[in-house]
Amino acid sequence: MLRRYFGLVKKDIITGFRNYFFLAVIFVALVFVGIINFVIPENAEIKPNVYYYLEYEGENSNILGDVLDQSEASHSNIHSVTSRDEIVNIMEENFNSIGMVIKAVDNKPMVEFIMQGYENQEVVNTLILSMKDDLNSRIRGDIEIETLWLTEESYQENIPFNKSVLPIFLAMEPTMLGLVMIAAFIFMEKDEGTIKAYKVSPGKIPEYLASKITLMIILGWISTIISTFLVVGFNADYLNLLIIVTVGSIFASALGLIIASFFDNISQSMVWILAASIIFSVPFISYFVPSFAPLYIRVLPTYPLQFAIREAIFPSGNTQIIYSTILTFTILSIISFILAVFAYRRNLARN
Amino acid sequence: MINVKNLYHSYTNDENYAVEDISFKIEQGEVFGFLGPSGAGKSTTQQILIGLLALQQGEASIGGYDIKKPKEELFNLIGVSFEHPNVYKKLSGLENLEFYKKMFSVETEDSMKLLRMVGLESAANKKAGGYSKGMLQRLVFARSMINNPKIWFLDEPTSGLDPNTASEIKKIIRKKNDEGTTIFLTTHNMYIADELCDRIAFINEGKIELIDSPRNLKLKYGEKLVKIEYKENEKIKKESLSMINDEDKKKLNKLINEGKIETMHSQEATLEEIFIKVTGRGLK
Ligand SMILES: Nc1ncnc2c1ncn2[C@@H]1O[C@H](COP(=O)(O)OP(=O)(O)O)[C@@H](O)[C@H]1O
Ligand SMILES: [Mg+2]
Repeated sequence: MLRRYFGLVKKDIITGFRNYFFLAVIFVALVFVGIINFVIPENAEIKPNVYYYLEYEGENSNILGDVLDQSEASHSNIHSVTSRDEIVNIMEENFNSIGMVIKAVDNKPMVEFIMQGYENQEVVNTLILSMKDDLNSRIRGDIEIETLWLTEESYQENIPFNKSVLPIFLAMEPTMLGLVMIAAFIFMEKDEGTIKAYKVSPGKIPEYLASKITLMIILGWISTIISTFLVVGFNADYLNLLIIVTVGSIFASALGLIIASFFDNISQSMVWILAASIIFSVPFISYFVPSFAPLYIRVLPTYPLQFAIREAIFPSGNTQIIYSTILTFTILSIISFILAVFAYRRNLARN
Repeated sequence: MINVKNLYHSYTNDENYAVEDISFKIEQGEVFGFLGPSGAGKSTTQQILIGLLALQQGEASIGGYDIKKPKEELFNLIGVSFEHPNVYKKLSGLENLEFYKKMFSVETEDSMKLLRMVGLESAANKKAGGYSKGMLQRLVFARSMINNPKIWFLDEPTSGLDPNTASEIKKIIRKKNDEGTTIFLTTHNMYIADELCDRIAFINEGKIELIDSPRNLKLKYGEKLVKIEYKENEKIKKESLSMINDEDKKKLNKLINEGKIETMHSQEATLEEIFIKVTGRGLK
């Protein structure tokens, strides 16, 4: 079984190489590195706008006002308004915004956050935490803010914007390029009829598919190592990064195999491959606009994937997201691989 | 070695059968041929047996293995040469064989030796994508021998090959058979069937019309023919006359008596002539 698997892998690597798959992957990675390092500006962040209204007028109101003024001066996305209603009105027009009202309860300041409803927890926590830190440094213990879970999940403020795009590329590469390449590979072999020759050998379908997926993993590694190294050097958690990319590639290529099994040629399947790629790319919006993370985005596996990859490239200590994503993708990979095996059994029995 | 009972197959899953009620047995060490015109159902039958087409109706076993539940052992036992060459175009001939070799868990042949046998030695390291049709066909043929198959399926093994190569291929087939390989081959070429097969099934429109040895068929169906050239009005005329048909016999006697005959050969009926007699159509 292993002999056959390695025989298949060798054949697929040679074939992939001669079809310029390796060259294509390296080229795309270098183009991305070029874009990241030289085209995208280092500091252009799309953070949610924060609108605040200071209603509290107690003894600490001056200090609070100072803190907020300073924030407003140093962050372009923080704005002061004059009533709670105004906050709500602005927020209704601009989905990438968050509101904050500082009220007085029992003569003590209390912060009320107004959210759109689909913000992801990470953003909310970050915001609240940073408020709390700021205020605590000025007013010791006098301000009450609900304490929250996930305290270790900090917003990674100090990643230059251009480099923060890298995780998107690494999450996108296996879905987009992997889906297309594995489908192209399958159709090439269908065209050659070589799958028939394989079928009358003792070789089994799981071995055949596993080999194709292995090639995609190797291509994913090459792309990941090249681009990550050229963007952040040695500063990434490469081991976890490669594990994430591996499970991500398995899932994406198994999905590509399943899609390809329904069609006879690449042009028929292209619509579906593109549709799948686009659907799995939607969470990238939330990456840049973290406050926009409705349920239909959060259920897509690329949503945690991009944050896990970011954590691996720019470690902040939140290893939880890495492990939970690896677990999720391992399960997804197993399921999609089993489905792919069934799809090919059915498909080959039919032809 | 091969046992087929009441095999039916419809590509459209209806009553429109590509093969219909096919039954035959192949003994160990036998060369069994399917002879019939294009579209008769030869490849369909073979593809069902090797598991590439679903067994819709009927029963079949190969080497004692029921083909409904094909086992790894079965595929180690058989070799298949396809009608339409199917090799990895980006791999060289040698790489193709070396890859295929690794799929088997029985003793395998030396790839280079096989390439030499089919005359592809000098093209061994060339990508198969650059091979001519005949070279591809020879590569597929060579590949089918890689696992020393006990049962060998050959779909039109010589079609499209030049006469010299075809005769090399025939020699290999005969040699393998001498070594004990059981062979199921399909062809629309009466000479191949005649030269190689111990028994032949005539297949037409999805049905087996008869099964017998070439010799028996000729004895049973073939009337002896005499091919003569004679002079008439200063012109040479050619004719085939039957030794059974009364009118032909009379004409032959007359020509002999008149001393007009220039050349004369006795000739057996060909398998194609017998095929026409049995099925009402030719092999083309
Ligand atoms: N893939 C297919 N789909 C539909 N019909 C087919 C297919 N392959 C063969 N046929 C039909 O089945 C019949 C038998 O074909 P085939 O077994 O290829 O004949 P042969 O090998 O004797 O030339 C023909 O009528 C042919 O048109
Ligand atoms: Mg055929």
